[in-house]
Amino acid sequence: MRFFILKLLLFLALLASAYAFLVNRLSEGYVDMYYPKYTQGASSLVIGLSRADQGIDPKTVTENINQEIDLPLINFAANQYYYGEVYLEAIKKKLIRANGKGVFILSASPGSFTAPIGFGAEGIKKMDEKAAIGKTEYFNSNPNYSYIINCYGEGLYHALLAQRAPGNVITHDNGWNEVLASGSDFTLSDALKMDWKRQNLAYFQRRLPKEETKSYRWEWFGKTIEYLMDKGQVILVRMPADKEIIDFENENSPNFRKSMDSITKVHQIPYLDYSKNAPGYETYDGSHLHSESAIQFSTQLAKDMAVHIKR
Amino acid sequence: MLFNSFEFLLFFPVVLFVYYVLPHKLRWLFLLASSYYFYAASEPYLIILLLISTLVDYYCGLKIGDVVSRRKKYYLWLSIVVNIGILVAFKYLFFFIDSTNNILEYFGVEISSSEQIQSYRIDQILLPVGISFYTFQTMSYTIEVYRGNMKPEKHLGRFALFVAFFPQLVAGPIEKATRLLPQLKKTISPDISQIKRGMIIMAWGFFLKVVVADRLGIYVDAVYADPDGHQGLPSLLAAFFFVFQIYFDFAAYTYIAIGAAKTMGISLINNFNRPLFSISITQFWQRWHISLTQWIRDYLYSPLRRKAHLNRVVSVLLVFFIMGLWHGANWTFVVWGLINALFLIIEVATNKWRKNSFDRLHVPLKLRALLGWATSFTLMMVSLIFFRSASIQEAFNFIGNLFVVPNLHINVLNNYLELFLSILLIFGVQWVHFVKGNNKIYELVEGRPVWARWSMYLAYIAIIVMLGINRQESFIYFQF
Repeated sequence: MRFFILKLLLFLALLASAYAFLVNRLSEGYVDMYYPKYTQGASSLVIGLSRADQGIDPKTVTENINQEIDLPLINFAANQYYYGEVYLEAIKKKLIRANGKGVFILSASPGSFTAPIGFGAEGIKKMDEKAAIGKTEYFNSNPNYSYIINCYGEGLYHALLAQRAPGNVITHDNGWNEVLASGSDFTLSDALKMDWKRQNLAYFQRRLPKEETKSYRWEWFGKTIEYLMDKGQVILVRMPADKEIIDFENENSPNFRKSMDSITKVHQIPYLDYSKNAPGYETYDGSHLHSESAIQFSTQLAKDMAVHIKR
Repeated sequence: MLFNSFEFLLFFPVVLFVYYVLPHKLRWLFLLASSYYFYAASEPYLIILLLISTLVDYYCGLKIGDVVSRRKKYYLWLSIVVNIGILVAFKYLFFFIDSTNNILEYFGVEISSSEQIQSYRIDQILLPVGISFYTFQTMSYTIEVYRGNMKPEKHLGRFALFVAFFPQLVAGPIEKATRLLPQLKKTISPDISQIKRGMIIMAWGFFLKVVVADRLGIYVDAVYADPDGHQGLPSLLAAFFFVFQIYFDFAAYTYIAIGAAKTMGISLINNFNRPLFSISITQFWQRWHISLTQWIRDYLYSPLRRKAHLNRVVSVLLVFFIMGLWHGANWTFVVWGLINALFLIIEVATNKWRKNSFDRLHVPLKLRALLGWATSFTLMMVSLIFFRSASIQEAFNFIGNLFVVPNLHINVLNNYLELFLSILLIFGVQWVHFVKGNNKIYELVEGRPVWARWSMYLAYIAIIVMLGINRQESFIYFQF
């Protein structure tokens, strides 16, 4: 029996060592496009969905804001990060001590407040917990083993392969995912961009009967604003997108503007709506800004924010 | 607690060690406490339902054993009503409300549930884990006592352990009290060969879950998340992958359950017998989720035929309707069940005609088997589209999308390596199942020389660590 237990322990030790080796090896290189969002504490944040993830560069904002703000400013926005209890808890863990000069850019679009039809508050929370913000224990450690163990969705054999970042996406340390419209060996043609936009609109159309705006999300959006107002300046932003996309959103969420205006008034915070006139900001799929446009937009955003920041 | 979680990797060895260290008379208590801990680790308050079900059936069992025969039926019905009541309240209530509302709305009656009611809605994902499994298991006990096939269990603790035995509590196999209860009473000494076998079976289960089923799930989820966004070959591949995903996922759970129980000297029923090699629908249902089909046969189908004198077609339709509903509170599961009933009815009705036709055409037996297998597999794949889809409409759209050609862009995830790996793993696992069957997996390792065994152990470590999907996905059958 003793010999059997020893063999079993040896087996388990080998298994644990191999696993630890690969997790560590993976953490030393490229993990995935969201990993840098989880490897450092933040004093200022970009919050929202994928449009903010790809459209707001913290470095450009910091360089152009011409105000003293608490740093670092980290882009903590991503696809599937909807306003809710789970996101707010993640934000609380993400924030490190600040001097009251934090800047919090909260991107909001009608899609930020939706969930599948039929889901109640508990159901939405459970659904949000399945995103990385709900699965990870730690948000500020580097390397972040908790993220790799709980959120890395692929085989660890990637740790042994050459770096595997997607060719047209540059994942920055500050959390910004820069999507290139062209590179040394590729250019996204206008026809391809049009096709992606068409596909996006068709996807939104298909989602319409399955999703609805939830008061739960608006409630937690309010709570998120309240929490962050204690830490610094909160600024609400509606990201620019192509006219067809914005028109689609406005048509199908007629109360969105009113709700945003109302929440802005209640909390006395600025709301920068770039959906109305967004000349010059180009997207690669109708919804998301590509590299140059994201920098151009971040510059403008920083300047507009500077006007509103109360010191 | 998930089997494929780090918590379980710590929990199980500790339980196994303490189990064998303790004297026999204390083991039931320790296993019961461990089982309740295992269950409560995810949703602590839901253990109340498990306790209610346990106490009611313990009481009913004793009463059935005690009272004169005329009143036995009352206690049997009490057990059935309480267990079905729990199921209805926690699994089907909103399904029935929504269905009634839909019917009323169809006839022009406007129904709107308030936001408050909506927020209290018990979403499918909030179902008490394993509720369909343990309620069926406890009901089997009272039915067996009522039928006189066993004496009521007087020891409340041992009975509670029969209901809550952690390896099979959450997703089966659904054990009969006549099989499991006597095993929980007997004195078990540590038997290294059984412990080894159990661990090998568990290891195979972990492999099936984290390396194969979860990998297939990524492709399947991507397509089913937006079924109208995919047509042609990607949809076909997702439907094909789902057949294996659900089989491997459920079989993985069963392997881990059987293996874990075996290490403790307890033998659980085999839930699968190479179902995807079936050459007919009838055979498939004799080989798939065996513990449930046996339950349905013994406690539902037979009484319907023998006591209610329903004819075979009606009985089959009714049984599969209930079996579909057992899987989930959604019409998609009901349709899945009814489709299978129709397949079965048609298959049985055309048996003679098919045999005569094959005989006339001199079709060799092997070719008949091959045709039977291909037909059964295809029909099963189509029916499972309803099982996986969010709504019946979506399932029909999905089936329609299968015929949109040409669309050969199967690389939905933009990763040919993963796609190739998925297909390779399906064939590899099915080869092992073909050669060893579902209940002799341990023979892969057992009896081989030391060097071969350790080579396999090292290969296993490499495969599970490198190819395992890290997301600790829940088992599909947990939701039932």
